[in-house]
Amino acid sequence: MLLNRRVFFKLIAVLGCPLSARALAAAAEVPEGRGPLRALAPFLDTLLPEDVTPSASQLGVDKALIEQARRDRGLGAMLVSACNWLDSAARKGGAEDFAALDETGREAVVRTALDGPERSLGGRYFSVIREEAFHHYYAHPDSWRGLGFRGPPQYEGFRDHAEPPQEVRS
Amino acid sequence: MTAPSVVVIGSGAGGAAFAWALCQAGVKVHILEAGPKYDPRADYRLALPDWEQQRFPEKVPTAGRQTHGPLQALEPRWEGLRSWNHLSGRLIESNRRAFGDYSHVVGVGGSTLHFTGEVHRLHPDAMRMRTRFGVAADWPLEYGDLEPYYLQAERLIGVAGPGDPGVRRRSAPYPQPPHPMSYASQRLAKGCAELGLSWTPNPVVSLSEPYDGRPSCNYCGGCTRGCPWLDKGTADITYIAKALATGHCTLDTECPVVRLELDTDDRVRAAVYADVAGNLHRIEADVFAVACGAVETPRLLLNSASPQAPDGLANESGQVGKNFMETLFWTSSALHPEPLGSHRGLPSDSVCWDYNAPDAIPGVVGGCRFSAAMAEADLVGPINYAKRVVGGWGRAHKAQMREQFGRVLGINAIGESLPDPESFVGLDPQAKDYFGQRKARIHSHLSEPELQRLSFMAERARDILKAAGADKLIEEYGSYDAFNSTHVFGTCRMGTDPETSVVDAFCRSHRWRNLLVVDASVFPSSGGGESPSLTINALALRAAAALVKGNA
Repeated sequence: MLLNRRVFFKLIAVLGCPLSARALAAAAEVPEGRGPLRALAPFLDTLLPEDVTPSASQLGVDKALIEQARRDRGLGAMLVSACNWLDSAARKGGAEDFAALDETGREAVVRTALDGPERSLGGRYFSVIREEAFHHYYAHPDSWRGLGFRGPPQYEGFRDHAEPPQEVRS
Repeated sequence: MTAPSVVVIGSGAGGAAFAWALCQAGVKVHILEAGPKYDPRADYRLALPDWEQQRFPEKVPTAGRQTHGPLQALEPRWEGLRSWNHLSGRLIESNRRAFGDYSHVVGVGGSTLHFTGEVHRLHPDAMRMRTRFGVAADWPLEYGDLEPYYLQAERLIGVAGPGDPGVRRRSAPYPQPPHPMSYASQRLAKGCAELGLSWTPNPVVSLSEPYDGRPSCNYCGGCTRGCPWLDKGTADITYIAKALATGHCTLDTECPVVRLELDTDDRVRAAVYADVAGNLHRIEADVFAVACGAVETPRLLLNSASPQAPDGLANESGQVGKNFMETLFWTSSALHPEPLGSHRGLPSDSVCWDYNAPDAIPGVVGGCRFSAAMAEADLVGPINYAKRVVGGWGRAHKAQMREQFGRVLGINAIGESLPDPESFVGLDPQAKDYFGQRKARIHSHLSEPELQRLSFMAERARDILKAAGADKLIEEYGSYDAFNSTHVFGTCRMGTDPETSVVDAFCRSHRWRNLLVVDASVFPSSGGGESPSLTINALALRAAAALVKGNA
């Protein structure tokens, strides 16, 4: 998978519409809810909504992705393309944009994006963004509640490793 | 600095052990290490929330350090050996084998810094592959010649291992009792028992009890990301630290050796190395020991060609770089229906040796072994579970994460790798490093016996998982469709005949009598999946003892 992702990012940087560092910085600094990335936070919150643990944006995943995109033009291009697609799909359904949709509406749009034909370029975009979202979200301790993961691994370790996990013991 | 008696090039399993043994005897040793030191508390991230976001922190990037030759086409009959994940499909989409990674660490301690810590003695029969089975080459020594040095290494490091040594007879018990198996590995044990297979504690360098000023392991499962707890007996905190403490050892880091200069009397005169600023220096010594691993050692020797050694240093036999043996491996991971907390415990805490003997796999020469693989497969943290196990999105994804985290069981199999004429390490005709030295070019080919062995390994791995109650396979990958190796061997093999080997039974060049090779380059055969670091240690300790005594 790592091999595929590296190749894919390079491909997008070449074939996509690379967003210049200045434009990406400008997009990131636009007041929340506006600019070409306004769909990003609501999209990420649809992928990783708040339930017993915070949503993606509550854990700063949107900001982390934008920061990552400053160093990776391929990812930047992908984020902008994805957000444009989400807004366009929302407008086709009569909404102002993706952020204006309710949860059910957002889920319907994301379902189309992620569950679309395998290996389509658009499908790959959304899959990659989802992977990057996981990468940042699950690096936050507030996301670990309920998993049975009392991390990080050090300096407590898992001295009960030979026993059933806590959820079985309790 | 007063000229040292011995210059050791490389500070991994071989170089570190060799240096330590010489220092114990009062010999002045200078170690040249291409990479930097690591500070376990500062450099390893296992105590931080983002611990899972990167693997071992490479201070010297290894991607691109070597190049590779074209790899073989993949065949439809081996479709079952393709690497795949249940969410993303095939991991290698091309119909030609891909080059993944020659995984190694450039730094003080070498690849011991990121290894899982398994330390295995070689099966005695694996040292007679040519005589008994007509493949590879015989070792020019017996298991009994190495046994005292295996013991010495185990005692220095503090190896925790089981009481029953099986065929690997011991003159004394392990210095530490075996670790308890993790709860998840206990399930694998039950599965093996149902299949009539053994499943025993794996000998490891992680301490089961405090030892030599180091704490006992706390079972974080993060060995491959570097151990900040300091229980894992890596070469830097054991051999190197002890060697430096003798006062007979000095160490220069970030000093890659560029070439070796030769004298006219079949002796190596000096090592030319670069400092951090890129300036070149020469250091002379009585003896030089090369310990850069089975890819970079032949590279250095070949790049040291001169009028006295036109085919490369110590290459009178033409065998430098040849007989390259790689890590033949397979990993299967499956989801168990019950919560196991399988992210906990030592990586590879348990092992099945039943197929390790060279004649144990029906119809194929060369054995293999199976071990627990949850940590080896890096399925011990939430990020990798989200990406590779659960997938999906939304509330369903989060609910499934809570249900499935800690339920993966994994089996890793490593098998014998036999020499092949198409597997060798040469010099790239074009690619050079910063100092103008040609890079190593890795050529790898899996022949029919390798593929047959790999097929057996895959089938048995699946059998064990199914018997353990985990029959929903989620991911498999192996050597068939991608070259990925950490254990590499054979490229300066030892032997009694100078026509067919590079060094003698004491790791000394047949011609260049003040040159030794003390890493896995000298292995005439790979063994049936044994982790090589302990054998590297033992060979290096034995070579040092011989040098001190004036033998060979």
